[in-house]
Amino acid sequence: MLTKILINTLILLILNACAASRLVEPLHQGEVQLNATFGGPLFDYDGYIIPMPLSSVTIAHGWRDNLSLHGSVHTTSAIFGVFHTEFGFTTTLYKSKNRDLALSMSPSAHFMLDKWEHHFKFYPSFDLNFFSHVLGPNKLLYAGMSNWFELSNERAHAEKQPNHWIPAFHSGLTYQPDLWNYNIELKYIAPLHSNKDIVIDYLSPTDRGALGVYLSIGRSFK
Amino acid sequence: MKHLSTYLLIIFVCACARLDSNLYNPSKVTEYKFDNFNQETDISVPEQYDIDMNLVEVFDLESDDGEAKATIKGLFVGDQDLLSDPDYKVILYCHGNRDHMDYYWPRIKLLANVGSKNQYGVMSLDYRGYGMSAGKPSESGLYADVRAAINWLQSKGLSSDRLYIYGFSLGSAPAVELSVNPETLTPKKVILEAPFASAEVMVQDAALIAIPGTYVTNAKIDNANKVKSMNQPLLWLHGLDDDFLSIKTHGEVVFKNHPGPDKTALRVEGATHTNLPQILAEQNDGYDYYLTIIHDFISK
Repeated sequence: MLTKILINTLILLILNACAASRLVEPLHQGEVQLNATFGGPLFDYDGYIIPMPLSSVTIAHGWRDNLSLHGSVHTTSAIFGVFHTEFGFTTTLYKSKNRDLALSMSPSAHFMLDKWEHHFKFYPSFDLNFFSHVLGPNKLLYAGMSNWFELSNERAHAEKQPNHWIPAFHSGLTYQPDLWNYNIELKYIAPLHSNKDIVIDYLSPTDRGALGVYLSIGRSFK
Repeated sequence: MKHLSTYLLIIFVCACARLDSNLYNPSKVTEYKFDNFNQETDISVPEQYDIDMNLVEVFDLESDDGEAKATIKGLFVGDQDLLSDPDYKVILYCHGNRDHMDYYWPRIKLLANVGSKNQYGVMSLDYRGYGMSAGKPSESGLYADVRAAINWLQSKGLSSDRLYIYGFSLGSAPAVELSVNPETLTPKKVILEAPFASAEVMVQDAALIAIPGTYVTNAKIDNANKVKSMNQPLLWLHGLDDDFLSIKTHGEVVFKNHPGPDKTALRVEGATHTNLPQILAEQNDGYDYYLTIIHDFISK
Protein backbone atom coordinates (compact mmCIF):
# COMPACT_ATOMS: atom_id res chain seq x y z
CA MET A 1 0.00 0.00 0.00
CA LEU A 2 1.16 3.44 -0.78
CA THR A 3 0.74 5.08 2.52
CA LYS A 4 -1.01 5.16 5.78
CA ILE A 5 0.47 8.52 6.46
CA LEU A 6 -1.32 9.91 3.47
CA ILE A 7 -4.48 8.58 4.97
CA ASN A 8 -3.57 10.48 8.08
CA THR A 9 -3.33 13.60 6.08
CA LEU A 10 -6.54 14.39 4.47
CA ILE A 11 -8.56 13.38 7.41
CA LEU A 12 -9.01 16.51 9.35
CA LEU A 13 -11.05 18.45 6.91
CA ILE A 14 -12.26 15.85 4.49
CA LEU A 15 -15.86 15.15 5.19
CA ASN A 16 -15.91 18.30 7.23
CA ALA A 17 -19.56 18.36 6.37
CA CYS A 18 -19.86 15.72 9.03
CA ALA A 19 -21.33 16.81 12.32
CA ALA A 20 -23.85 15.59 14.81
CA SER A 21 -27.45 16.70 14.47
CA ARG A 22 -27.56 20.33 15.47
CA LEU A 23 -30.83 20.58 17.29
CA VAL A 24 -33.35 17.78 17.37
CA GLU A 25 -36.02 19.27 19.60
CA PRO A 26 -36.84 22.98 19.48
CA LEU A 27 -35.92 24.95 22.57
CA HIS A 28 -38.39 26.82 24.69
CA GLN A 29 -39.00 30.38 23.65
CA GLY A 30 -36.19 32.59 24.87
CA GLU A 31 -33.90 29.70 25.76
CA VAL A 32 -30.32 29.81 24.53
CA GLN A 33 -28.15 26.74 24.25
CA LEU A 34 -24.45 26.48 23.55
CA ASN A 35 -23.02 23.13 22.40
CA ALA A 36 -19.61 21.80 21.54
CA THR A 37 -19.39 18.68 19.39
CA PHE A 38 -16.44 16.42 18.75
CA GLY A 39 -16.24 13.41 16.50
CA GLY A 40 -16.60 12.22 12.96
CA PRO A 41 -16.40 9.22 10.65
CA LEU A 42 -14.44 6.28 11.99
CA PHE A 43 -11.37 5.31 10.02
CA ASP A 44 -8.28 3.15 10.23
CA TYR A 45 -5.41 5.23 11.56
CA ASP A 46 -2.32 3.09 11.25
CA GLY A 47 -4.17 0.05 12.57
CA TYR A 48 -6.31 1.90 15.10
CA ILE A 49 -9.96 2.73 14.51
CA ILE A 50 -10.59 6.28 15.62
CA PRO A 51 -13.11 9.00 14.80
CA MET A 52 -11.98 11.95 12.77
CA PRO A 53 -11.23 14.73 15.20
CA LEU A 54 -13.78 17.14 13.81
CA SER A 55 -15.19 19.72 16.14
CA SER A 56 -17.75 22.47 16.05
CA VAL A 57 -19.51 24.95 18.29
CA THR A 58 -23.23 25.64 17.98
CA ILE A 59 -25.43 28.29 19.49
CA ALA A 60 -29.19 27.85 19.36
CA HIS A 61 -31.96 30.22 20.34
CA GLY A 62 -35.62 29.45 20.98
CA TRP A 63 -37.23 32.12 18.89
CA ARG A 64 -40.67 30.70 19.47
CA ASP A 65 -41.72 27.57 21.32
CA ASN A 66 -41.73 25.57 18.12
CA LEU A 67 -39.03 27.37 16.20
CA SER A 68 -35.38 27.52 17.17
CA LEU A 69 -32.62 29.17 15.20
CA HIS A 70 -29.09 27.83 15.29
CA GLY A 71 -25.69 28.71 13.94
CA SER A 72 -22.45 26.76 14.05
CA VAL A 73 -18.78 27.25 13.43
CA HIS A 74 -16.58 24.28 12.58
CA THR A 75 -13.59 24.82 14.81
CA THR A 76 -11.33 22.12 13.36
CA SER A 77 -11.81 23.66 9.96
CA ALA A 78 -10.95 27.06 11.40
CA ILE A 79 -7.65 25.73 12.72
CA PHE A 80 -6.82 24.85 9.13
CA GLY A 81 -7.77 28.23 7.81
CA VAL A 82 -11.23 27.33 6.56
CA PHE A 83 -14.13 29.38 7.88
CA HIS A 84 -17.02 26.93 7.83
CA THR A 85 -20.26 28.12 9.29
CA GLU A 86 -23.83 26.95 9.02
CA PHE A 87 -27.16 28.50 9.84
CA GLY A 88 -30.51 26.82 10.16
CA PHE A 89 -33.64 26.33 12.16
CA THR A 90 -35.47 23.48 13.84
CA THR A 91 -39.21 23.08 14.08
CA THR A 92 -41.50 20.26 15.09
CA LEU A 93 -43.66 18.91 12.29
CA TYR A 94 -45.63 16.36 14.27
CA LYS A 95 -46.31 15.38 17.84
CA SER A 96 -48.26 12.34 18.93
CA LYS A 97 -51.12 13.00 21.31
CA ASN A 98 -49.34 11.50 24.30
CA ARG A 99 -46.20 13.29 23.15
CA ASP A 100 -44.15 10.12 23.27
CA LEU A 101 -43.09 10.63 19.70
CA ALA A 102 -42.46 13.69 17.58
CA LEU A 103 -40.93 14.57 14.26
CA SER A 104 -38.76 17.61 13.64
CA MET A 105 -36.94 19.08 10.69
CA SER A 106 -33.78 21.15 10.53
CA PRO A 107 -32.75 22.74 7.24
CA SER A 108 -29.36 24.43 7.23
CA ALA A 109 -27.17 26.40 4.88
CA HIS A 110 -23.40 25.83 4.94
CA PHE A 111 -20.87 28.44 3.92
CA MET A 112 -17.16 27.73 3.60
CA LEU A 113 -14.30 30.06 2.76
CA ASP A 114 -10.60 29.36 2.99
CA LYS A 115 -8.11 32.04 3.82
CA TRP A 116 -5.46 30.58 1.52
CA GLU A 117 -6.97 31.11 -1.92
CA HIS A 118 -10.39 32.41 -0.89
CA HIS A 119 -12.35 29.59 -2.44
CA PHE A 120 -16.01 29.69 -1.45
CA LYS A 121 -18.35 26.77 -1.13
CA PHE A 122 -22.05 26.65 -0.33
CA TYR A 123 -24.24 23.64 0.20
CA PRO A 124 -27.53 23.03 2.00
CA SER A 125 -28.44 20.23 4.33
CA PHE A 126 -31.70 18.95 5.71
CA ASP A 127 -32.26 16.81 8.79
CA LEU A 128 -35.37 14.89 9.80
CA ASN A 129 -35.57 13.41 13.29
CA PHE A 130 -38.04 11.30 15.19
CA PHE A 131 -37.58 11.95 18.90
CA SER A 132 -39.08 10.83 22.15
CA HIS A 133 -38.74 11.28 25.90
CA VAL A 134 -39.87 7.74 26.46
CA LEU A 135 -36.77 7.04 28.58
CA GLY A 136 -37.54 9.91 30.92
CA PRO A 137 -38.21 13.63 30.85
CA ASN A 138 -34.53 14.52 30.83
CA LYS A 139 -33.52 11.93 28.24
CA LEU A 140 -34.07 12.63 24.56
CA LEU A 141 -33.87 9.61 22.30
CA TYR A 142 -33.85 10.29 18.61
CA ALA A 143 -33.26 8.72 15.23
CA GLY A 144 -33.32 10.29 11.85
CA MET A 145 -31.77 11.14 8.59
CA SER A 146 -29.38 13.84 7.47
CA ASN A 147 -29.12 14.92 3.88
CA TRP A 148 -26.37 16.99 2.30
CA PHE A 149 -26.92 18.40 -1.14
CA GLU A 150 -24.20 19.18 -3.66
CA LEU A 151 -25.52 21.88 -5.98
CA SER A 152 -22.56 22.01 -8.32
CA ASN A 153 -22.69 19.98 -11.50
CA GLU A 154 -18.93 20.00 -11.81
CA ARG A 155 -16.05 18.81 -9.73
CA ALA A 156 -12.31 19.26 -10.22
CA HIS A 157 -11.08 19.59 -13.81
CA ALA A 158 -14.61 20.25 -15.09
CA GLU A 159 -15.52 16.61 -14.61
CA LYS A 160 -19.14 15.73 -13.94
CA GLN A 161 -20.05 15.80 -10.26
CA PRO A 162 -21.70 12.43 -9.60
CA ASN A 163 -22.88 13.05 -6.04
CA HIS A 164 -25.74 15.46 -5.49
CA TRP A 165 -27.50 13.82 -2.57
CA ILE A 166 -25.51 12.43 0.31
CA PRO A 167 -27.72 10.92 2.98
CA ALA A 168 -26.79 9.71 6.42
CA PHE A 169 -28.75 7.84 9.08
CA HIS A 170 -28.23 8.49 12.73
CA SER A 171 -29.45 7.76 16.21
CA GLY A 172 -28.58 9.50 19.42
CA LEU A 173 -29.31 10.10 23.06
CA THR A 174 -29.18 13.41 24.89
CA TYR A 175 -29.13 13.46 28.66
CA GLN A 176 -29.97 16.77 30.28
CA PRO A 177 -30.14 16.44 34.07
CA ASP A 178 -29.93 20.19 34.60
CA LEU A 179 -28.73 23.12 32.55
CA TRP A 180 -25.98 20.95 31.11
CA ASN A 181 -26.62 18.37 28.46
CA TYR A 182 -24.57 15.44 27.20
CA ASN A 183 -25.07 13.73 23.89
CA ILE A 184 -23.82 10.75 21.96
CA GLU A 185 -24.79 10.12 18.37
CA LEU A 186 -23.98 7.29 16.00
CA LYS A 187 -24.16 7.86 12.30
CA TYR A 188 -23.97 5.86 9.10
CA ILE A 189 -22.69 8.43 6.64
CA ALA A 190 -23.15 8.18 2.90
CA PRO A 191 -24.41 4.58 2.84
CA LEU A 192 -25.07 4.84 -0.89
CA HIS A 193 -21.55 5.86 -1.83
CA SER A 194 -18.56 3.61 -2.34
CA ASN A 195 -15.75 3.94 0.16
CA LYS A 196 -13.27 2.12 -2.07
CA ASP A 197 -10.52 3.53 -4.24
CA ILE A 198 -9.93 6.51 -1.98
CA VAL A 199 -7.11 7.50 0.30
CA ILE A 200 -8.97 6.91 3.55
CA ASP A 201 -9.93 3.52 4.99
CA TYR A 202 -13.32 4.34 6.50
CA LEU A 203 -14.91 1.91 8.93
CA SER A 204 -18.12 0.60 7.50
CA PRO A 205 -20.13 -2.62 7.62
CA THR A 206 -20.15 -2.60 3.83
CA ASP A 207 -18.01 -1.22 1.03
CA ARG A 208 -20.07 1.93 1.17
CA GLY A 209 -20.10 4.93 3.48
CA ALA A 210 -18.64 5.27 6.92
CA LEU A 211 -19.76 4.84 10.50
CA GLY A 212 -19.37 7.91 12.66
CA VAL A 213 -19.51 8.70 16.34
CA TYR A 214 -20.03 12.12 17.90
CA LEU A 215 -19.97 13.41 21.45
CA SER A 216 -21.44 16.72 22.52
CA ILE A 217 -21.66 18.75 25.64
CA GLY A 218 -23.78 21.84 26.04
CA ARG A 219 -25.34 24.27 28.41
CA SER A 220 -28.66 26.03 28.40
CA PHE A 221 -29.19 29.62 29.40
CA LYS A 222 -32.78 30.38 30.26
CA MET B 1 -20.62 34.87 23.36
CA LYS B 2 -18.54 37.89 22.45
CA HIS B 3 -15.47 36.14 23.83
CA LEU B 4 -16.29 32.95 21.93
CA SER B 5 -16.62 34.83 18.66
CA THR B 6 -13.32 36.55 19.32
CA TYR B 7 -11.59 33.26 20.03
CA LEU B 8 -12.98 31.70 16.85
CA LEU B 9 -11.90 34.69 14.82
CA ILE B 10 -8.41 34.49 16.29
CA ILE B 11 -8.25 30.78 15.51
CA PHE B 12 -9.21 31.44 11.92
CA VAL B 13 -6.87 34.37 11.38
CA CYS B 14 -3.93 32.69 13.06
CA ALA B 15 -4.60 29.31 11.54
CA CYS B 16 -1.56 27.93 9.88
CA ALA B 17 -2.19 24.22 10.15
CA ARG B 18 -1.85 22.53 6.78
CA LEU B 19 -1.71 18.91 5.93
CA ASP B 20 0.91 19.24 3.21
CA SER B 21 3.83 17.76 5.10
CA ASN B 22 1.73 14.71 5.91
CA LEU B 23 1.15 14.07 2.24
CA TYR B 24 4.57 12.54 2.03
CA ASN B 25 5.50 9.12 3.31
CA PRO B 26 9.28 8.90 3.39
CA SER B 27 11.47 6.85 5.63
CA LYS B 28 15.16 7.28 6.27
CA VAL B 29 17.97 4.80 5.79
CA THR B 30 21.67 5.06 6.52
CA GLU B 31 22.66 2.96 3.53
CA TYR B 32 21.02 1.50 0.46
CA LYS B 33 20.85 -2.27 0.35
CA PHE B 34 19.26 -2.87 -3.05
CA ASP B 35 19.11 -6.65 -3.58
CA ASN B 36 19.82 -7.20 0.11
CA PHE B 37 16.84 -5.11 1.20
CA ASN B 38 14.75 -7.69 3.03
CA GLN B 39 11.64 -5.72 3.84
CA GLU B 40 8.33 -5.54 2.01
CA THR B 41 8.37 -4.25 -1.56
CA ASP B 42 5.59 -3.68 -4.07
CA ILE B 43 6.71 -6.36 -6.46
CA SER B 44 9.20 -9.21 -6.48
CA VAL B 45 11.46 -9.72 -9.46
CA PRO B 46 13.23 -12.99 -10.38
CA GLU B 47 17.01 -13.24 -10.29
CA GLN B 48 17.19 -13.26 -14.07
CA TYR B 49 16.59 -9.51 -13.93
CA ASP B 50 19.37 -8.83 -11.42
CA ILE B 51 21.85 -6.16 -12.38
CA ASP B 52 25.62 -6.24 -12.09
CA MET B 53 26.15 -4.00 -9.06
CA ASN B 54 29.31 -2.64 -10.69
CA LEU B 55 26.92 -0.76 -12.95
CA VAL B 56 25.05 0.79 -10.01
CA GLU B 57 26.23 4.04 -8.51
CA VAL B 58 24.73 6.25 -5.84
CA PHE B 59 25.92 9.85 -5.69
CA ASP B 60 25.03 13.25 -4.32
CA LEU B 61 22.95 15.78 -6.17
CA GLU B 62 22.50 19.37 -5.09
CA SER B 63 18.92 20.53 -5.32
CA ASP B 64 17.43 23.95 -4.76
CA ASP B 65 13.70 24.61 -4.97
CA GLY B 66 14.10 28.31 -4.29
CA GLU B 67 13.09 27.92 -0.68
CA ALA B 68 15.51 25.31 0.56
CA LYS B 69 18.63 23.64 -0.68
CA ALA B 70 19.09 19.93 -0.12
CA THR B 71 21.71 17.33 -0.86
CA ILE B 72 19.84 14.38 -2.25
CA LYS B 73 20.83 10.95 -3.48
CA GLY B 74 20.81 10.09 -7.15
CA LEU B 75 21.15 6.60 -8.58
CA PHE B 76 22.38 5.59 -11.98
CA VAL B 77 22.18 2.06 -13.33
CA GLY B 78 24.25 1.58 -16.45
CA ASP B 79 27.44 2.75 -18.09
CA GLN B 80 27.91 6.46 -17.39
CA ASP B 81 30.54 6.67 -20.09
CA LEU B 82 27.81 6.03 -22.63
CA LEU B 83 25.71 9.03 -21.58
CA SER B 84 27.26 11.14 -24.32
CA ASP B 85 26.81 8.34 -26.87
CA PRO B 86 24.09 9.43 -29.33
CA ASP B 87 22.62 5.91 -29.33
CA TYR B 88 22.39 5.52 -25.56
CA LYS B 89 18.98 6.21 -24.03
CA VAL B 90 18.05 6.80 -20.42
CA ILE B 91 14.86 6.15 -18.49
CA LEU B 92 14.47 8.57 -15.57
CA TYR B 93 12.33 6.78 -12.99
CA CYS B 94 10.44 9.01 -10.53
CA HIS B 95 9.32 6.70 -7.77
CA GLY B 96 6.21 6.81 -5.64
CA ASN B 97 5.51 8.07 -2.17
CA ARG B 98 6.72 5.11 -0.19
CA ASP B 99 9.93 5.03 1.86
CA HIS B 100 12.96 5.26 -0.42
CA MET B 101 14.83 3.77 -3.40
CA ASP B 102 15.41 0.41 -1.75
CA TYR B 103 11.66 -0.07 -1.71
CA TYR B 104 11.51 0.67 -5.43
CA TRP B 105 14.70 -1.15 -6.37
CA PRO B 106 12.85 -4.12 -7.96
CA ARG B 107 11.06 -1.69 -10.26
CA ILE B 108 14.26 0.20 -11.03
CA LYS B 109 16.27 -2.88 -11.92
CA LEU B 110 13.38 -4.20 -13.96
CA LEU B 111 13.57 -1.06 -16.10
CA ALA B 112 17.28 -1.73 -16.54
CA ASN B 113 16.13 -4.82 -18.46
CA VAL B 114 13.99 -2.96 -20.99
CA GLY B 115 15.02 -4.09 -24.47
CA SER B 116 17.83 -6.18 -23.08
CA LYS B 117 19.90 -6.06 -19.92
CA ASN B 118 21.40 -2.59 -19.54
CA GLN B 119 20.35 -1.55 -23.01
CA TYR B 120 19.06 1.63 -21.43
CA GLY B 121 20.54 3.58 -18.59
CA VAL B 122 18.17 4.05 -15.66
CA MET B 123 18.35 7.09 -13.44
CA SER B 124 16.44 7.44 -10.21
CA LEU B 125 16.67 9.47 -7.04
CA ASP B 126 15.34 9.81 -3.56
CA TYR B 127 13.40 13.02 -3.19
CA ARG B 128 14.41 15.26 -0.32
CA GLY B 129 13.54 13.61 2.98
CA TYR B 130 13.40 10.13 1.47
CA GLY B 131 16.04 7.47 2.09
CA MET B 132 19.45 9.08 2.42
CA SER B 133 18.39 12.40 0.94
CA ALA B 134 18.50 15.37 3.25
CA GLY B 135 15.76 17.94 3.59
CA LYS B 136 12.03 18.01 4.02
CA PRO B 137 9.61 16.82 1.33
CA SER B 138 7.52 19.37 -0.52
CA GLU B 139 5.87 19.69 -3.90
CA SER B 140 8.37 22.27 -5.08
CA GLY B 141 11.11 20.05 -3.71
CA LEU B 142 9.91 17.14 -5.84
CA TYR B 143 10.28 19.21 -8.95
CA ALA B 144 13.64 20.65 -7.95
CA ASP B 145 15.03 17.24 -7.04
CA VAL B 146 14.09 15.64 -10.35
CA ARG B 147 15.40 18.72 -12.12
CA ALA B 148 18.71 18.16 -10.34
CA ALA B 149 18.76 14.61 -11.68
CA ILE B 150 18.08 15.85 -15.20
CA ASN B 151 20.82 18.44 -14.84
CA TRP B 152 23.24 15.71 -13.79
CA LEU B 153 22.33 13.67 -16.87
CA GLN B 154 22.86 16.70 -19.04
CA SER B 155 26.22 17.39 -17.44
CA LYS B 156 27.25 13.86 -18.40
CA GLY B 157 26.34 14.45 -22.02
CA LEU B 158 22.75 13.24 -22.32
CA SER B 159 20.55 15.08 -24.79
CA SER B 160 16.79 15.61 -24.75
CA ASP B 161 16.10 13.17 -27.56
CA ARG B 162 17.52 10.33 -25.46
CA LEU B 163 15.70 11.06 -22.18
CA TYR B 164 12.50 9.20 -21.30
CA ILE B 165 10.73 9.92 -18.05
CA TYR B 166 8.66 7.41 -16.08
CA GLY B 167 6.52 8.61 -13.18
CA PHE B 168 4.80 6.22 -10.81
CA SER B 169 2.04 7.53 -8.54
CA LEU B 170 3.51 10.54 -6.69
CA GLY B 171 6.36 10.44 -9.19
CA SER B 172 3.88 11.35 -11.88
CA ALA B 173 3.93 14.91 -10.51
CA PRO B 174 7.59 15.71 -11.31
CA ALA B 175 7.39 13.60 -14.48
CA VAL B 176 4.57 15.76 -15.82
CA GLU B 177 5.92 19.04 -14.48
CA LEU B 178 9.38 18.60 -15.97
CA SER B 179 7.99 17.39 -19.29
CA VAL B 180 5.69 20.37 -19.60
CA ASN B 181 7.95 22.99 -18.03
CA PRO B 182 11.50 21.80 -18.73
CA GLU B 183 14.44 23.97 -17.79
CA THR B 184 17.25 22.03 -19.34
CA LEU B 185 16.57 18.70 -21.02
CA THR B 186 13.08 18.01 -22.33
CA PRO B 187 12.03 14.38 -22.01
CA LYS B 188 11.21 12.86 -25.37
CA LYS B 189 8.42 10.62 -24.13
CA VAL B 190 6.48 10.22 -20.91
CA ILE B 191 5.32 7.08 -19.12
CA LEU B 192 2.83 7.50 -16.29
CA GLU B 193 1.83 4.61 -14.08
CA ALA B 194 -1.14 5.17 -11.73
CA PRO B 195 -0.83 8.96 -11.85
CA PHE B 196 -2.61 11.50 -9.68
CA ALA B 197 -5.07 13.76 -11.43
CA SER B 198 -4.56 16.34 -8.71
CA ALA B 199 -4.60 16.81 -4.97
CA GLU B 200 -8.05 18.33 -5.39
CA VAL B 201 -9.42 15.14 -6.94
CA MET B 202 -8.00 13.19 -4.03
CA VAL B 203 -9.83 15.49 -1.63
CA GLN B 204 -13.11 15.38 -3.53
CA ASP B 205 -13.03 11.60 -3.87
CA ALA B 206 -12.92 11.32 -0.12
CA ALA B 207 -15.26 14.19 0.67
CA LEU B 208 -17.95 13.28 -1.91
CA ILE B 209 -18.90 16.91 -2.30
CA ALA B 210 -16.77 19.15 -4.49
CA ILE B 211 -14.90 21.07 -1.83
CA PRO B 212 -11.85 22.95 -3.05
CA GLY B 213 -8.54 21.20 -2.49
CA THR B 214 -7.25 24.30 -0.73
CA TYR B 215 -9.47 23.42 2.22
CA VAL B 216 -7.09 20.59 2.95
CA THR B 217 -3.73 21.25 1.41
CA ASN B 218 -1.67 23.79 -0.46
CA ALA B 219 -0.28 21.00 -2.62
CA LYS B 220 -1.59 20.98 -6.18
CA ILE B 221 0.00 18.03 -7.98
CA ASP B 222 -2.13 19.24 -10.85
CA ASN B 223 -1.25 16.67 -13.50
CA ALA B 224 -4.71 16.78 -15.06
CA ASN B 225 -4.30 20.43 -15.92
CA LYS B 226 -0.62 20.43 -16.83
CA VAL B 227 -0.90 17.44 -19.14
CA LYS B 228 -3.10 19.54 -21.44
CA SER B 229 0.04 21.26 -22.67
CA MET B 230 2.16 18.13 -22.95
CA ASN B 231 3.67 17.75 -26.40
CA GLN B 232 5.38 14.44 -25.77
CA PRO B 233 3.84 11.06 -26.54
CA LEU B 234 2.27 9.49 -23.47
CA LEU B 235 2.05 5.89 -22.31
CA TRP B 236 -0.41 5.59 -19.45
CA LEU B 237 -0.72 2.45 -17.35
CA HIS B 238 -3.28 2.10 -14.58
CA GLY B 239 -4.78 -0.80 -12.63
CA LEU B 240 -8.51 -1.19 -13.01
CA ASP B 241 -8.60 -2.19 -9.35
CA ASP B 242 -6.49 0.71 -8.12
CA ASP B 243 -7.65 1.05 -4.54
CA PHE B 244 -5.80 4.27 -3.85
CA LEU B 245 -5.98 6.52 -6.89
CA SER B 246 -9.12 5.58 -8.72
CA ILE B 247 -8.54 4.91 -12.39
CA LYS B 248 -11.79 6.71 -13.15
CA THR B 249 -11.22 9.93 -11.27
CA HIS B 250 -7.43 10.14 -11.58
CA GLY B 251 -5.88 8.20 -14.46
CA GLU B 252 -8.67 8.54 -16.98
CA VAL B 253 -8.79 12.31 -16.47
CA VAL B 254 -5.06 12.64 -17.03
CA PHE B 255 -5.22 10.49 -20.15
CA LYS B 256 -8.25 12.33 -21.51
CA ASN B 257 -6.62 15.72 -20.97
CA HIS B 258 -3.45 14.81 -22.86
CA PRO B 259 -3.93 16.52 -26.21
CA GLY B 260 -2.72 13.55 -28.22
CA PRO B 261 -2.70 12.25 -30.81
CA ASP B 262 0.23 10.10 -29.73
CA LYS B 263 -1.02 8.59 -26.52
CA THR B 264 -1.46 5.00 -25.47
CA ALA B 265 -3.49 3.57 -22.61
CA LEU B 266 -3.06 0.25 -20.86
CA ARG B 267 -5.79 -0.49 -18.32
CA VAL B 268 -4.78 -3.59 -16.44
CA GLU B 269 -7.46 -5.86 -15.08
CA GLY B 270 -6.69 -7.15 -11.59
CA ALA B 271 -3.96 -4.62 -10.89
CA THR B 272 -4.19 -2.42 -7.81
CA HIS B 273 -2.21 0.71 -7.17
CA THR B 274 1.07 -0.96 -6.40
CA ASN B 275 1.32 -4.22 -8.29
CA LEU B 276 0.71 -3.43 -11.95
CA PRO B 277 4.02 -4.79 -13.33
CA GLN B 278 3.65 -7.97 -11.31
CA ILE B 279 0.04 -8.51 -12.38
CA LEU B 280 1.11 -8.10 -16.00
CA ALA B 281 3.85 -10.64 -15.33
CA GLU B 282 1.41 -13.11 -13.79
CA GLN B 283 -0.99 -12.72 -16.68
CA ASN B 284 1.68 -13.03 -19.39
CA ASP B 285 4.21 -15.58 -18.21
CA GLY B 286 6.75 -13.18 -16.81
CA TYR B 287 7.92 -9.61 -16.80
CA ASP B 288 8.96 -9.64 -20.45
CA TYR B 289 5.51 -8.53 -21.52
CA TYR B 290 5.71 -5.42 -19.31
CA LEU B 291 9.25 -4.73 -20.48
CA THR B 292 8.20 -5.12 -24.11
CA ILE B 293 5.41 -2.59 -23.65
CA ILE B 294 7.90 -0.07 -22.31
CA HIS B 295 10.46 -0.88 -24.98
CA ASP B 296 7.97 -0.66 -27.82
CA PHE B 297 6.77 2.72 -26.61
CA ILE B 298 10.28 4.09 -26.34
CA SER B 299 11.58 2.69 -29.56
CA LYS B 300 8.65 3.18 -31.91
